[in-house]
Amino acid sequence: METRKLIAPALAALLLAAVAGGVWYSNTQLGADTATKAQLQLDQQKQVAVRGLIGSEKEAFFADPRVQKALAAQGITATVDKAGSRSIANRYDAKQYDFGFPSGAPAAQQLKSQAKAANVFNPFYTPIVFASWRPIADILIANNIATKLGDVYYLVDLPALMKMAEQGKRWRELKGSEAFASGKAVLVNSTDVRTSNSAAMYLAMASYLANNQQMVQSQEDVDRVMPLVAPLFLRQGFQEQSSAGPFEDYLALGMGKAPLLVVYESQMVEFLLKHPEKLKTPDKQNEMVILYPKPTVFSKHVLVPYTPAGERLGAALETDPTLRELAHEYGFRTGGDTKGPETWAKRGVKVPETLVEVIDPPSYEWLERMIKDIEVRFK
Amino acid sequence: MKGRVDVSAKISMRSFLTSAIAVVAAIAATALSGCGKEDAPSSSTSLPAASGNISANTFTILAGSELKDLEAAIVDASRKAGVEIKLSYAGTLDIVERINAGEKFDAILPPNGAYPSLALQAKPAAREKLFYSRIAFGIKSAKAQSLGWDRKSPSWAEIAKAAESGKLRYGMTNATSSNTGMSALFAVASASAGKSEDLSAQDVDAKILKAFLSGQKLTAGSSGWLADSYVKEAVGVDGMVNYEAMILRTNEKLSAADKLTLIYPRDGMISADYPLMLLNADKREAYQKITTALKAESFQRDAVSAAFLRPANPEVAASSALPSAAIAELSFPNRLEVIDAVLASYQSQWRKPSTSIFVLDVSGSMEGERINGMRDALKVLAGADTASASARYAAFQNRERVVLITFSNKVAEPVWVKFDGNKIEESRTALRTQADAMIAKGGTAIYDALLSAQDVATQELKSDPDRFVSIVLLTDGESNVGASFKDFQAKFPNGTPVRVFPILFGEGKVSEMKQLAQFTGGRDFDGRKAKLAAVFREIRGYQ
Repeated sequence: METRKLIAPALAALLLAAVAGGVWYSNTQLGADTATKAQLQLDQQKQVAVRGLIGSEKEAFFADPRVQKALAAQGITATVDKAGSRSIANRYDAKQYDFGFPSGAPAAQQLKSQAKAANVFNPFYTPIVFASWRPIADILIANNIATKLGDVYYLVDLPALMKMAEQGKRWRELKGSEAFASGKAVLVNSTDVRTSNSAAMYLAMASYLANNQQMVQSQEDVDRVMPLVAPLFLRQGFQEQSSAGPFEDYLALGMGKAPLLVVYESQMVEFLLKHPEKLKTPDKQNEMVILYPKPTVFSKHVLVPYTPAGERLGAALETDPTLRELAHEYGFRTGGDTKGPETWAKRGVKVPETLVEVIDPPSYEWLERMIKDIEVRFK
Repeated sequence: MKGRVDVSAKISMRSFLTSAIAVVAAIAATALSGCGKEDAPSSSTSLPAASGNISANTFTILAGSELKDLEAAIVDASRKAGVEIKLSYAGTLDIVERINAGEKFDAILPPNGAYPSLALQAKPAAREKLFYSRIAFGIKSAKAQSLGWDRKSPSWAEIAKAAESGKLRYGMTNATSSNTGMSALFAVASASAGKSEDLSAQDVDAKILKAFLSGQKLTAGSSGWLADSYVKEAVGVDGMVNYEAMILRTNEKLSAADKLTLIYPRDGMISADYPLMLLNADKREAYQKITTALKAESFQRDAVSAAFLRPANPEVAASSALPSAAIAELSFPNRLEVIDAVLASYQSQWRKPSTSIFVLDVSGSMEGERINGMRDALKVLAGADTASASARYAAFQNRERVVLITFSNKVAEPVWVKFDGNKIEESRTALRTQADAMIAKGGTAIYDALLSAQDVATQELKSDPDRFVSIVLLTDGESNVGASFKDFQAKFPNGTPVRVFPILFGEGKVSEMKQLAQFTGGRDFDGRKAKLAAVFREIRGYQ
């Protein structure tokens, strides 16, 4: 839990600023409070159409007719375009959009300051996990890197795995690797860190380990960490721009394409809820498993409103129980009485209800500097 | 049996490719100014959308050529979703080249998204993978058994060894024009470097690459045409590198002895992932309708899975004819410079060298702009223009041999220009001098010239059987002096030693040029319409 103590001064300052801003906001707004409430009720009855730019992993949620119906009940019609989270942060456009909904707090932080949004909404969150296959998990166990905790899930010693990657180990060199005796390097596949949040979260984890288990928060940290961390991305070869592509590859091409893939827990849970047959297959190599790296990070899906209409959508997603339940269908964890894992367990997808070692990602500034450093190395 | 298989002439590469584009573009510009006597539409080459009468609502897609088989299903599914689409076809590198050159398409559907993602100057506004196909080595069952590969998948090094020792002769597309050839090349390069990822040019083991490529007996500019050639010429080769989907579809046309077993080299392959990439952001709505329709279960089951492609929609199972065993996937390089370096070495060092015979019309009708255009174009081939977008492959490469045979009433002596090691610059100067020396005068002795070219080809193959030799014919008129087409045919009752690739332009006789292509096992290409640069680029892949 030492990680919890490690709130960067930069982040602390930011929090302070945010709190101060909030205090100022509520003071100035206080007088108008009653009037605002009445206005809010009026607004709620009004139909609004909202348009937003979202991370690709939430596309199916917004396309679901049940979600549309629940939103319609609140007077909201939502249209979404998808983009990589980093590009959402760089494409603030209040003329075209009512909200941005990236995956990941750092992108949201950046967007919030551009949008000068007073409030942001945190309707869902999901931990970063590795999508994998039963034979791969077995190999990792044989090499003391993973521990089996449930039928579907394992805990992975991330420092040990990173060490193997650093040493350039290949699968066929590992103990008990007959089931995947491939010359492929032991590397975790990710999306393109230059555009996509899940890869940025993986960068957050890897840089934390490379920085002696501390969040990167200075240029010295960046300089020290990058030679160790950049190869994790550069060595992967061509990478996809958003999270959906590699996950589709994982599903369509299997273990040979992606023995280990950085994904959101939500992607795996959503899929397994729909495809319980993938939990147990006659042929072991097609059994999907979830590896929880230790430590991991939460990817917070933060809705940043640009307009009052965007704000209404954010509030609805955060508070409406029907929408929360639907979010569980898509594998997202939420606040409220039921958070997700309880529901999933009833349907055979047992994942940990709480995760013990969760670190905070670096602030937008430092994450951005690391990504830029990798960007330069790609050229 | 056709003796052609082993000698199936292939001129060089992209170097040559791109430069030749300019040649023909220049020539065509002049040819087009003449009056066409024959106007029968001839091309098997797709035209760019811009030239057709396509309504603004039609959604235009430039797609990988092997998708022609799926065209009806794609058009139908899109129409049901309310979008009229028009498909045109090209090889992967061509697709990128044409978009970068400014041709307008609403979207592209290349077999592999990696190369376009790296090389497109304007990044796509959206992308969605529609289906997948692994690239495999299809090998005749008896051959696979005799090599023991039916029991244990070979490594790429073992495949290279079999090729080098003459035990494996195969067909593969040109790596600088088609995705299957390019993917296989990078797979061998990665495997030979002992790496699955982050390949750099220095890592590549040239010996294994050369050994592997020494077994290539059949080449093509597209995976579909390669499969067709295999069906016709299966006797002389042991198999081909192609999409698993294409191999299984081809098997349906083959006799039992020629049927191919799918072999996946055990150190890995690169799969095609067919992303539909939106280029025209204004058509996003139509794009979404199309992707929704094409990823729907019905399309994925009835069109995708039925064609032995692997569905992108996880609700639909892949055909049971496809193996489900884990095949290691090798990474595509993530840097354009690595791709360029590997392709450049492929052209100038690894692949079997080529001898390209240019049979060029210098009859009276070529006088003026036409001959000037031809001169300028030859100079481009000689490396005069380095400013163009494709300049990195524009000049002739090491080991190439170019033979110029000009003709009017008479056929001139063949002029050889050899591009060897330290004398490349001299050779380029020589070629430019040759171009300046051409004079347009007299009649059109096409077949005398072609007979001379086939003689040159025969001698070249005799002295250097490991070369790809082919003939390009550029003429703007009908034969009116010397041997006729009939005389030419009569000379080769068993087929010609090498293929002839006629380019139609000016007042050339379309039907005869088509017959000529068919008779020699080549293909005709239409140089009179659309963008000739693109048309000719397509031809280059076949040489």
